[in-house]
Amino acid sequence: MSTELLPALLDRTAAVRPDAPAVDDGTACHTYREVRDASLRLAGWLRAAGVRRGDRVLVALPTDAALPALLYAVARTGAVFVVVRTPAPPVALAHVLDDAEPALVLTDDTTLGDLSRVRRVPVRDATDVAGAANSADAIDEADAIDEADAGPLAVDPVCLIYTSGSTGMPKAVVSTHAQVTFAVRAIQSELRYRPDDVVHDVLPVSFDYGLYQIFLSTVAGARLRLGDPGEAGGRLLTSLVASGATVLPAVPSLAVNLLRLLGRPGAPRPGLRLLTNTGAAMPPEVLTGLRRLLPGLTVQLMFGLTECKRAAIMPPDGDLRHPGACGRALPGTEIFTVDTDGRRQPAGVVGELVVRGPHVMAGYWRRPELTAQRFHRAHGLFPQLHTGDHGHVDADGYVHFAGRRDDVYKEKGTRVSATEVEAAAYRVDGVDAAGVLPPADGRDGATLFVVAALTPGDVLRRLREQLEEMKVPARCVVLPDLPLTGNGKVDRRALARLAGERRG
Amino acid sequence: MNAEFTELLRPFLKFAGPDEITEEARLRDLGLDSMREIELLFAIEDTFGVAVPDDKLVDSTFATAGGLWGVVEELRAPVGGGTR
Repeated sequence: MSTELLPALLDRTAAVRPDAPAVDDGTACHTYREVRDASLRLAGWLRAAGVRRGDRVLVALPTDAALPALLYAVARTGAVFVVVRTPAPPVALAHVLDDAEPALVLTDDTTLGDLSRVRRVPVRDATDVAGAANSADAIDEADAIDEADAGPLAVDPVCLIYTSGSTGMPKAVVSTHAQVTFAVRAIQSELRYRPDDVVHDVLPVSFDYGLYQIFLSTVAGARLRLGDPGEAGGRLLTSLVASGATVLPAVPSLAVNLLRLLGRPGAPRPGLRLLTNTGAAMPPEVLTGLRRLLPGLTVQLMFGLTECKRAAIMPPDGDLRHPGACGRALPGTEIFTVDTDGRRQPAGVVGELVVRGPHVMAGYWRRPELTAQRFHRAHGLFPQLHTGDHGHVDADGYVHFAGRRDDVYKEKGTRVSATEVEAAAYRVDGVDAAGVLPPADGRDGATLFVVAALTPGDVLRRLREQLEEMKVPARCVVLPDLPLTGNGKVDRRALARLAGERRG
Repeated sequence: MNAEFTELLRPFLKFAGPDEITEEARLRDLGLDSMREIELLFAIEDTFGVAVPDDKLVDSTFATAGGLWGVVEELRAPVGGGTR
């Protein structure tokens, strides 16, 4: 079991490789020494702003080279960082503010700033953070911790990550220092990022795999390139070439985009050596195409969920030898299936996937009932994560994912709950009934069916005021009434038939 | 902007609905995300028979409907003289 604190990862690399580049964003670049020094100054600044152990600090700042030092600084004070993506609808931001009850909000976003001040939560912006990080004051490590309020223990929380799942509003997964540092080291033992790697991260930092690139790069002593969201689009290939990227953490839609861009006449070839996949199943033909165009590329598929960060990782190019598998349990952890009564099943039998190990996170913030369900305790004591994902584990320990039995689906690799989308649709004035049809296999984008005195465009536009844009379905269909099952629930099979007819 | 172009855009813009898509329309605000930008790029290249060069694969190209149409026109001009 890990007893490491998260900032210790940074301190160790900064001691061994102080002058190695740690992070750049295409404009600014900082060495490991500079990141460590900035994080110490920022920790002192946070304490002066009243942040104490256990407090939550909301971070909704641009993803740039200044971000890693800030997150490590929050961790040093013993506070808990919550990375939030903006812009987002006021109702979504208000939910996070009321749920997390932060002691400080760091943002340039005016909506989040206003909502925070109404709640008497102090707000600082990117300029304040930059000023504190770059101040000429001598660093006094004791500034970060005073005796009346000691620094964190490894069992203290360090981050909240909001995630969707069968609830009307997102809930936060709480991770301790020990859980995060164990997960980081276990993942690194499989992926083996190298000190000469350039890890090009275009995934949002509010998404856990995007966030963990910071910590994985730190333990490896690699250079992290934090990209802006535009780099996931048309600029993906040119920015990978410009950064000298060797590692690309991906979700399937990003890999598809990369393949398409590489296939254009005269397209340059980036020096990628490793592509990892998470979020959703990677179509094998995409990997075939990428390997053909990038002969030096190794692929590692993965499977996981925020509740344990990462459950399984394939060995390098293991997808070629074990088609259909998505990985083996991380070292020091295990994955098995249980039947509907929760009894452990032998290898090869399909059931709910259950994960055990030091990477199983603490639970859901302020949701004891939901925590008890998902973070089940065997004999009332020993935590095991019931993932809600179904599949089987073969005799060699490879996990094969089959699907989910609840209403959670993926949009571009991110978990979305149909319940949450429907709840948001019901909040739209003029919508009388709503049902969501998750994307069909291999298709991006859900379809929203509503009974409403509105046009489909109006429904989606108004829904954007209630729901993060990524979660708004790609299409909307207005119906005179919704097909219901015998017990009065929305009949998704009938919706699927309707969608099929509409596509012709 | 011709009708072929605006109808090509429409499925990529989930917030446009049936309304007219104007030259000033900001594609980002109408629901074009960076991931779908690439799909749009390929649809444009197929439909209008153009190859968008790498130096045009920047955020400003995809900022507004009119701006994107301008890029398409510019690329069409040398071969087709502006019409096809």
